[in-house]
Amino acid sequence: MLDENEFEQLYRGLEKRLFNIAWRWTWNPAEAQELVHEGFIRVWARRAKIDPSTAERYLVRTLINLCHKRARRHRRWTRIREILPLPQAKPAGPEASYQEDSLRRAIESLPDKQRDVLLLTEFTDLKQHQIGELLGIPPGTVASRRNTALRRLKETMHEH
Amino acid sequence: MSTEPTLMDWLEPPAHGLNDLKGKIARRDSLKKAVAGSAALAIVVCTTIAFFHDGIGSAAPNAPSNGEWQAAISTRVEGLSVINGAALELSARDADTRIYLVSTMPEKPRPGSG
Repeated sequence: MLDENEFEQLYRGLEKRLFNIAWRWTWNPAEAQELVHEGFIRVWARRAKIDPSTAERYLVRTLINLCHKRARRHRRWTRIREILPLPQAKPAGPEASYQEDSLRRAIESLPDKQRDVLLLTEFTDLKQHQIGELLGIPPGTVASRRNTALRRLKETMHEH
Repeated sequence: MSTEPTLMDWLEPPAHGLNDLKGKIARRDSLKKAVAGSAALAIVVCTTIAFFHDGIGSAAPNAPSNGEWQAAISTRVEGLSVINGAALELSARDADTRIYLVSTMPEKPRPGSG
């Protein structure tokens, strides 16, 4: 059972980390916050069944699922835009620097599984084995996916 | 020292995130209550209708049998119909309406009366 105080503490402790993960899926602060809030709302709705000691992992898992769902929807929509003669999305504003843009493209190009591992290792305090439990993979796979993701990022960044 | 690239700097989430979240939770809770209230009201209405329907259809002392009930209440009217001597002009919109009139039902003999 998660009470209101524990819930608020959880939010204060995790908000920034989760926001940074969600931002690298959405590239939009409002959408990222929306995903984070949706995750917390789901935790709140199930608070009677959630053990406070596992709340963080439950929340991270929920957020990852929400990010994946949002990414699938976004990709479908992108494919539709390519097929249909719809107005193209606005290009990134002048505030988006070249380096930011190429890093963004590099992260976007990662397969979801590698992106998950990379973002979780960068933006949470979870240990390798905890990330492995969360994603249902052995710790060794976490390490190898992270290394592969970093290598691909470097390669993509050099290409641009 | 690690030579791995970092994934840009940490970004600050929008301000007042916790208050916004509390507001969203409160709005969802009140919406849920409203939906639950409507559902409860609908159940009460349906139960009441079912109770009275049963009361008229089977529990009342002069209640007709199911067959009689159906024959009486399923009177299909088209155009101009006469029910119990009263002419009812029905518009085209009403042509397919089933008329439910208790007064048209044959009366069932009371036990011991006949």
